[in-house]
Amino acid sequence: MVVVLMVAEKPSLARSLAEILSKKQCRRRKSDCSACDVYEFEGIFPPGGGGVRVTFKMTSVCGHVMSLDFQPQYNKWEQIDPVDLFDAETMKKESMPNLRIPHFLRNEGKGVDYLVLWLDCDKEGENICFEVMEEVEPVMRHQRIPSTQAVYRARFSSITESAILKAFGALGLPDWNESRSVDARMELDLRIGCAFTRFQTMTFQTKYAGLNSSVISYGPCQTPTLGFCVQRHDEILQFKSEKYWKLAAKISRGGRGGPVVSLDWGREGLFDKEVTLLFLARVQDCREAVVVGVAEKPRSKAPPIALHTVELLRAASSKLHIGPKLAMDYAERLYTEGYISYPRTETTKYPKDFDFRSILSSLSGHPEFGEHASSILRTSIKPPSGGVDVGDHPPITPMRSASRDQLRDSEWKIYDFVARHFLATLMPECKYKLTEVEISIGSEVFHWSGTTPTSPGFTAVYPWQEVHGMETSVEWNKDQHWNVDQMKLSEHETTPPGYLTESELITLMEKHRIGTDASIPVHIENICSRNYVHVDSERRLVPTKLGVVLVHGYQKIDPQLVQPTMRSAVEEQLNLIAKGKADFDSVLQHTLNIFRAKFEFFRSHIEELDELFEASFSSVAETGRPLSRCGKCQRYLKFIAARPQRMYCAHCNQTYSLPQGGSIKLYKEIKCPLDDFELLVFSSPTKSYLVCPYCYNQPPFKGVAKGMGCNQCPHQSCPHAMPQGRVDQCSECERGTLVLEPYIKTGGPAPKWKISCNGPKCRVMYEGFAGSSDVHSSKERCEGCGSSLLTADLSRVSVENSGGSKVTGCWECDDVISNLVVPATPDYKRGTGRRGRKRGRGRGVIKKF
Amino acid sequence: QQSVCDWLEARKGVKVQQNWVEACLEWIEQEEGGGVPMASLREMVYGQLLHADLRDVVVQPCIPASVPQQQTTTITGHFIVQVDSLVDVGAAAYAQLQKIKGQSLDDVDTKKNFEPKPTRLLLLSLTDGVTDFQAMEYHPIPQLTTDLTPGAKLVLRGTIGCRLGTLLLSGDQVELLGGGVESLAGINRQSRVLARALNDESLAGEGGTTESGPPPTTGSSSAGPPARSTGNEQLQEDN
Repeated sequence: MVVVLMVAEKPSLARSLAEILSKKQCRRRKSDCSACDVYEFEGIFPPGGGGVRVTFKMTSVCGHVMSLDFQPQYNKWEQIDPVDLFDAETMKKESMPNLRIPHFLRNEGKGVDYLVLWLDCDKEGENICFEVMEEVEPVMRHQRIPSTQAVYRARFSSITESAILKAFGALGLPDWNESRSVDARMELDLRIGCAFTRFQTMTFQTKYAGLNSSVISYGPCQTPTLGFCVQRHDEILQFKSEKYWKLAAKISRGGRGGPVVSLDWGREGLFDKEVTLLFLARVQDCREAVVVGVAEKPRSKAPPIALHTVELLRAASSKLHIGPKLAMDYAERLYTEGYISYPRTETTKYPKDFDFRSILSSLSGHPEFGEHASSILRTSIKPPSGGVDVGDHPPITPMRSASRDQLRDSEWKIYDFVARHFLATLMPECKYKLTEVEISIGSEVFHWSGTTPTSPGFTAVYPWQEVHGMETSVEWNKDQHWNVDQMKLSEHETTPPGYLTESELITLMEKHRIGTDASIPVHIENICSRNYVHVDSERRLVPTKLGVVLVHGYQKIDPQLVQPTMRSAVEEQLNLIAKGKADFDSVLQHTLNIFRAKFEFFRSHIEELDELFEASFSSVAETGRPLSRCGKCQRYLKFIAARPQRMYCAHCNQTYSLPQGGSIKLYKEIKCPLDDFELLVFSSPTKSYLVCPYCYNQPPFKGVAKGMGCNQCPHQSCPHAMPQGRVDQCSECERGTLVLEPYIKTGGPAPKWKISCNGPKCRVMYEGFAGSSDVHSSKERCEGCGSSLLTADLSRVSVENSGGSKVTGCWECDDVISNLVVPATPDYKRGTGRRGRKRGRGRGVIKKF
Repeated sequence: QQSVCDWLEARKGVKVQQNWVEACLEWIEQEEGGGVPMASLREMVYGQLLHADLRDVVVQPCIPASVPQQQTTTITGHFIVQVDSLVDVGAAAYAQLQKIKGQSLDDVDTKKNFEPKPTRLLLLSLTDGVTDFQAMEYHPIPQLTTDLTPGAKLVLRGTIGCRLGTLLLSGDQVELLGGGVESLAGINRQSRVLARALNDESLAGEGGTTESGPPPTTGSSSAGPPARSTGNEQLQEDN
């Protein structure tokens, strides 16, 4: 049987595609990748004429298979000069080592005859195509007829039956140039970003406290993005507010109950009070206002053009209050479930043969906007005339009807917007009447204007652009006389612009071509997560002190680093690679040379940025509180609580990193036998362990990674090291060891002892021995299971069958002790990890004292 | 000399100091040599007048000195005055200053209008050489702009309303003669006038830019095509 392997970009997409292609007749099976299932079904391949019966295997990857990194020797920050990163050797490594995607692909690809690539149709997707081919091609069965095509690319923009079947019927080839442009971008971003980021971080992180960011990153997109926010911040700070004055008039007609309206002064406002008063004096005594002219102008608002990604992101932020990153996530989910078309596109013009009717008919039964869809169907469909077809994907449109309760709240909001926008593009313009009235009071001219909607058009379905009419209707006629009820001076003040809204930022990024529709949300997310800006309640981006200092520093040293022009030039070059019009290596080398020179200049002028840091942040040496003794100078190390928390020795001028995300306390003034540093105890909700600040940064033993706590230390005699605290192998992670946690007196009721895995990411934890004053593990192993025997002092605990004050036994096999220990990690299900089957096989030893 | 003085008074309506005219003529003689025809001589003196500070030249005020004290009055006639400075009070000084410095805030087209729509209203500080007045653009005076050289001379003619010491001018009452006063050029430069309105002289941005050195871009601009690109020609074509 001929086998065809098909690969989609995400697991949910594989399912949708398999269901469509098999007409819901596919079998699902697990694979050796925990995230990706395989859907199998029979069919004809190649589709169209001349195909044979084959077995299809549809599966997916999870985004990029590989990512680019430096060779491991370059990842030691302290030992590598950042400038070397511009030409350091790189390597591809698995993006998600846990999922073992390459292994999985080779496994599933073994012996298949054809490979069909269903990755998303954008540059990233094209790049992933080649990543998949890299794994699958070598293990495929050799073609029986040489030089026949074995690898195909499907191109599609939405997950509907017709679109998918159409794509399947017109399979092509993956585009090498597009893929290469992604390779180039990745390499540039890696080299440039890492060089600057490492240098900045190493320069400032150890020197200043309160930066509140663990990495001081630079990114060719991220930094100009931040630059926009800081530029607005500077404009706001520099802004000089000025007072201005207006004549405020109120006129009425017909006595009591007649209309009263406020008028706008023809001279708007004046920035000189004396002059305004002079005008006031001229008209103050006028009691009568005369209508000089009434103009009624028909106005209209055009319906929106078709929706592209950037507009969706803008609208999500400004109209729906959903940030760009989340908006994109929701849109992607809607896409994979077939509700909307592919949400990454720059095209704002519907293709010529676009099938409006089928979408409209599917929406026509919708409880909220169905009637609009039906009424469009009843007329001839007129697609909007504006917009551009960039040639990537059709604009974002709904693909099928979804009701409010079918979707999660936020997804519904996005869907609702996409659907309404789509309908709006096909509806007539909104018409209204603008009434402008000119009124003279004495020698001065005043204005009044108001709108009256005449035909709502598309705004019936698109409430965000609704034209509001006047609250009260007023009849205006030329030469009409009104009474002046009030004439006074009103005082006003100019105000600075607000901070950039996300929506404005997206506009600026698009205008200056910072990032792509796909990466814009990521860059905004980055400057937030690096603590350079925060998003306020109106979704405005307010830079932090750190963000401001950085941008001002770049502006001082090399403004181009933060200017948007630099990046757009690079993006242009990358596009040339994608179109096959420029050479990969020369673009890369050219750009790297520029940035290497910039880096070196930046580094030699870093004191200009340092001055700014100095003025804004307190230095590490001035903050922090003495906590534990330094093993080198025996003076107190200071604990810097500001993120990232760390220890600092003012005498040695040395900073020591600490584990993050938990509290740090001194542990009984006990010193590490290796280096004399006093031990600290780190405790977070999931684990606590001892840390020697020196060993944590400089692993004392070979084969131990940086970031070692005492629970990983292989020291053979230190009572706090792992061998002495060992309880058992961890049953959940491969190399983890369960270690007795240090006991910290909390003053709570009954002290509990904990046993947790020393694997940095493993969350396995047990607790027990409540009330026991001492628990320790011994060198003796349980004969039955190999766990270390535990000795617990139970003198103050009443336990059945304990038989004495101290009990020794295996925590698994001994009935008394095992009953005292229960799993403690909240998300860790009881029973799955305990090797219960071993229970009772061989009895532990109970020693009586 | 006397004939030049008379001519200025009769034709231009300025009564000037005799010794100023004398000095003027002496200077012209030095520059041009003798034998300049009377007509050109007059014009040359008049040209000097436009570039002089009226305060140093005029002996008799042309505008009644009582004007500043009166609530409402009108003056009628033909008056040569000097514009010491002028400012548009119809727009925020900060915005005007930004525009002059080329740092217009309007980079983002999405920005809302936070200021009243600028409806120009010029406020002028005038002198007739003896008395200082204020005047305003009551009706548009298109011949005046904020770029006017400080010290430029105007002719005001017709019947001009005055209120609280301010002349209310309209376009048909104003003729721009030109000229300027060197000593006013610096202190009443538009940027400084606006900065004074904001109570912050430093905003005027004195002096030229004294940048230390350009940033280190090899090939000055990143936008250039790769130096040794094999597809260089194609690249340029595509651009």
